[in-house]
Amino acid sequence: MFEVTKKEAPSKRKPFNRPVEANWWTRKKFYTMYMIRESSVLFAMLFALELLAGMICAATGNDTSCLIKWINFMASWPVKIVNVIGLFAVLYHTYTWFNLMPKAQRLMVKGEPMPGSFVKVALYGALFITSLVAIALAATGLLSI
Amino acid sequence: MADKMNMEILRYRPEQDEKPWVQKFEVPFTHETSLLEALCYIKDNLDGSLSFRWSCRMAICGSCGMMVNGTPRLACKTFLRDYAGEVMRIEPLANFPIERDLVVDLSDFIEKLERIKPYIIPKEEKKDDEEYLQTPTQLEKYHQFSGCINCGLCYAACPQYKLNKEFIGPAVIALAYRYNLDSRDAGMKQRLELLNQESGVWSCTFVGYCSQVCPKGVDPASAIQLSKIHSTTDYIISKITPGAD
Amino acid sequence: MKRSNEPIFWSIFGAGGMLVAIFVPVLIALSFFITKIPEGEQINAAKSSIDAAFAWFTYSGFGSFICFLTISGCVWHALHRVYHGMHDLTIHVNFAHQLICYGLAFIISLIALVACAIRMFS
Repeated sequence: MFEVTKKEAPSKRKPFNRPVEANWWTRKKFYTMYMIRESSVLFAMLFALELLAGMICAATGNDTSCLIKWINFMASWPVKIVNVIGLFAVLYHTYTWFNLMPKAQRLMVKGEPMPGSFVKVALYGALFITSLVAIALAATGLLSI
Repeated sequence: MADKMNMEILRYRPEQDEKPWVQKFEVPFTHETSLLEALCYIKDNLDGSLSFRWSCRMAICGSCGMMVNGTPRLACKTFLRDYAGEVMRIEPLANFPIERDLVVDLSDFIEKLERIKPYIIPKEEKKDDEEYLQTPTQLEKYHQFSGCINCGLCYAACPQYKLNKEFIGPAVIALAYRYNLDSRDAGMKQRLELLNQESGVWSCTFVGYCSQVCPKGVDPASAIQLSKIHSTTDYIISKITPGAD
Repeated sequence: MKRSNEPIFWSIFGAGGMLVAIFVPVLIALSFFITKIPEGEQINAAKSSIDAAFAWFTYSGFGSFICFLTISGCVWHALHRVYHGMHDLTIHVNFAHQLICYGLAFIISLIALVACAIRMFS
């Protein structure tokens, strides 16, 4: 007696789907910085390719002529200028990476989640010590062929 | 002696409009006026046809989520004084279909919440007079993630949900994580079936905006990364144990 | 209920990301101090310890192994982000894009591994 069929009371619903723009990430600073964060590692890859060139040179024979060419390539101004930009990019990766890492753990200390700052201190400590060791080894002339 | 706020509100009436359009209002406000109060002022005095959801007016029911100058916010927790001198552009919550004016269709979100089995799945059924015992430390492990009010702001924030509506999304994964971490629960294996999929945790690229907009400090981004670790562990175990999926 | 294979790539991405974050900055910084070796001269640790260190890094057995790991970590991490970044740029990614990205990472790592092996066993 109280049935209302679809025919008698058609729905007036017409949900509107807002289109997704390809430049959605330009609309908000947070999104733009995310895209910059992601692309910062391209400079790490570029540096890796520079190292690869050195490895290929080193592998081509028992004489070091190719390797010396690579050293001179790395010493050239265009490469150094690109690597300056690369250093800032990679440091930005480091900074954002260290900000994210505390969120990927949930260790409990004294009944509460461990503060993120502990993780950050450990990571920056690792960065500092690794860098110090690398500089020390490179500067002393201990590493040579 | 009230200041006036210039507001632009996206309207949409499905029975008359082909697409949304902007309506301008001038709303008086004081230091205490919230966006919710401004919307109620509009409905009471300027245009009674304006539709929007609200209930508790104190950021616990999760009803009044909407976009304020491009940022997902709760209307009851947004104050006009913070936008003094600007124009406030109010739009319905992003990444959801618009039903009418500022009301969106949240059924996709609700359906996904149900899919994750958001209830205690105990190891053994308890008798009627048996309680679960849980220490404060055990509670602390998951407590933060139990604060979700299902407001949907994180879905409006999430670019991966914008790009792919199959993604189960931040709130759902945070809720799954809340139950997986609950010492009374033994249902992680069942929830992992959903989390392990491409549309589960693996659609997330840790943009992190969800946690930024969350009004209750749930930090769904963290829950997702921690769930990725669960999923990875489960993956490794499944590959080295024979006869698994 | 199809289980995703992302855990593999995500784990490598994570390890690579940590390596890039901790090790690569100092490498790039040190590379600024590489100097040109004059015509006819050899790599001389006494004259330029940084030049010699980078030569060691690519040429010596142990050094080239670390170099291979560094290159691998960088490219797997970066190309994982490129693949997901393409999706973020609303490019419709499918298996072909995955193959190209991870394939490239694999090829670059393989070249580095072969070069390292040559230096380790010659």
